[in-house]
Amino acid sequence: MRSTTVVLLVALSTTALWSCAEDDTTEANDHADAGIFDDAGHADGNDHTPDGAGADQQSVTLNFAAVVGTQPLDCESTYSDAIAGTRFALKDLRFYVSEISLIDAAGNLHAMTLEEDNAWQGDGVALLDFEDGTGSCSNATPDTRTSITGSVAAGEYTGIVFTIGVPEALNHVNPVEQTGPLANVALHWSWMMGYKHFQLEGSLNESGLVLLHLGSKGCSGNPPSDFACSISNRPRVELVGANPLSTPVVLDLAALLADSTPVDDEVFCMAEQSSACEELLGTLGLDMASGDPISDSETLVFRFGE
Amino acid sequence: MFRPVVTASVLPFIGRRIRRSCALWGVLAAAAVSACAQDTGDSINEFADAGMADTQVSQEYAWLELPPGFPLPAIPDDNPLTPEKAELGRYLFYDTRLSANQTMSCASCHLQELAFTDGRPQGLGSTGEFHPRSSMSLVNVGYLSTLTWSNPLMTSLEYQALLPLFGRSPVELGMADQEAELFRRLGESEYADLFEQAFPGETPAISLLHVTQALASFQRTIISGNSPFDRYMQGDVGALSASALRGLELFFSERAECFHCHGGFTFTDSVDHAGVGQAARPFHNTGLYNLDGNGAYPEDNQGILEVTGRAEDMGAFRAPTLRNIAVTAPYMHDGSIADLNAVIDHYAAGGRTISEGEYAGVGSESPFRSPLVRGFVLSESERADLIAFLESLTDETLLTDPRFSNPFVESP
Repeated sequence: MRSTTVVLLVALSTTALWSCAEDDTTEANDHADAGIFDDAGHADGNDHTPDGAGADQQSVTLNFAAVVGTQPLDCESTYSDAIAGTRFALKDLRFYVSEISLIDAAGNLHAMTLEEDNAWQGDGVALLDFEDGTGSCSNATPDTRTSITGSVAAGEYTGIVFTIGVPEALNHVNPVEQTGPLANVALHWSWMMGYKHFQLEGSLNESGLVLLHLGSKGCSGNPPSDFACSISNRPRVELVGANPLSTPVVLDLAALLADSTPVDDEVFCMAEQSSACEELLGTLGLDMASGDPISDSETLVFRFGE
Repeated sequence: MFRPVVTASVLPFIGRRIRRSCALWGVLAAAAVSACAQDTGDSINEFADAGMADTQVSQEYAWLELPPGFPLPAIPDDNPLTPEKAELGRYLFYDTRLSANQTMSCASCHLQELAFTDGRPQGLGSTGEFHPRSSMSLVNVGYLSTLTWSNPLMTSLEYQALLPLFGRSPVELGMADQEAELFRRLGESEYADLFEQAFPGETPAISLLHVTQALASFQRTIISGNSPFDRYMQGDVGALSASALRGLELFFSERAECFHCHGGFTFTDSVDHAGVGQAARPFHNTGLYNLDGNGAYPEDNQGILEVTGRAEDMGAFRAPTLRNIAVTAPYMHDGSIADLNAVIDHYAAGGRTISEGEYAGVGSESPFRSPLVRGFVLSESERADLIAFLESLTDETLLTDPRFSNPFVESP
């Protein structure tokens, strides 16, 4: 039912990509309104700005969407072009975003301050959630989250750079003592004393599996303080050429899985040293062995929607 | 208090053996490896005094009923151990409401009568998914420096509870994304009083933090130290048969080398307790597999290599406790050895040889094999003696102690 709606919206407007989950039109309207609200906030002084920052700040909303090639991602569809010759269905797609900066026309970075809502955003970390608990995602949660809100210096922007993952300074806290996005134990990678920066789960040809749990590895010490991981595994995404305040950032699972070769209908990676991980991390721009971004590479997994 | 109760003057027979091998002192000194490299007698006593003098168990912990000679488990500052928390933890441990589909509890894989193992080669989760590894005994888990088969990072019982509760690969209790449902279930039950008593005045009383703290507290109380071996050490000379005594000497001999990894009062070299500074976190490759001639283990079970990423950690697993070992078959991290006799075959050969199939290989030729696993020759009677000793480590009271039993079942 929803997929039909979304497909129709795609035909009408790329703004439908902002969310394949619920209520696309509302989100689109909210997004369109953001600029108006910003102006009002400036006119009224500081009171209406979410972080109480000065008048040179503007409230912003970044929108995200997930697709498989040309199709919006949802929990109702089966995709034949995620991995050629297979049938893919989503079970779970959630990931953390942090260290966001907007890029101006001169190439300068302007750090974005995230709102704190005690649920999806806190401590400078945002959790995005693209599954709505229906259909093939029935094991996950009904709530979705496909936007990030906060403030940034007033100005015109032509690009964005962000990190996928929980920053090291926060990565080893005890999740049951947290509030906000770090309280989500379903995203916690307990065996590595950290979080899954990125979590994708799906079925392949019904009984097979696509699983990417990407967290920091090579860890040692005693959490939370005396603890460090040598393999960061945090993709860094930089997109230019569009206004990030009016253009959604699109995650394309077909691009993520572009190099993956299923073995017995399985693409399985928990950030170990394996060919499956090399293929998946490679498309995210990460060197599997070091966990660092591959220099001079750019990930095609994320792009501007327009 | 922690000076070994048995002394040479009380038990001349044992004393003589001690002075030869020094091993028994090591058992009670909780550091057999380092201790046994030393001289006998006084130096061991000094070690024992130095290591444990400040771990006197106060009246505060009398309720734990620690076995003679046992130190206090390591208790984190932010989760003081109380009987109320342990009791709440016992309810939670046995409650199938802690699995998403309400079919399993912690106790489904950790059965008291099997010393808190499950008798399966590999653990089976609530959705039918097998764990790559065998369910470990929880006996004396409060004294371990690392908790699981193959994770040097896993040192906190509180933290570890998150894995079976919320882990997704494999699914055990399957509660990921079901926290709200968990709180709903707990809120509709008898737990209000239990949480309030365990965490008086703390709000919210029912929280994930408190669930993990209570489960950890209960597990810390599962202490085993009343086996025939223990009673023998406390002066009951009739507690061990002549065969078991001969097996004891073999166990602690440089010939069989069992005690290097299975030493100390917990019968594992992974030990931590109150009074220990920086606890060691040892892991060992015993030559169980050698798939490719280069020491490879099966892909889903390669030991701490999966955590550390270091090639030399291939096949390194933690030494499990040997307390109650006779009731925790099958053996090894993957349950691939059926009985104690076959376990002795494995170590006698200095590593297992698998002659055919996908796991074929000569374990004794693994480049990663521990130098302590070097093989030995036992006569048939010696083998029987060694098994008799291992059987003497079974603590029957532990297997039936009502303090650790299912609170949802009315006792007869």
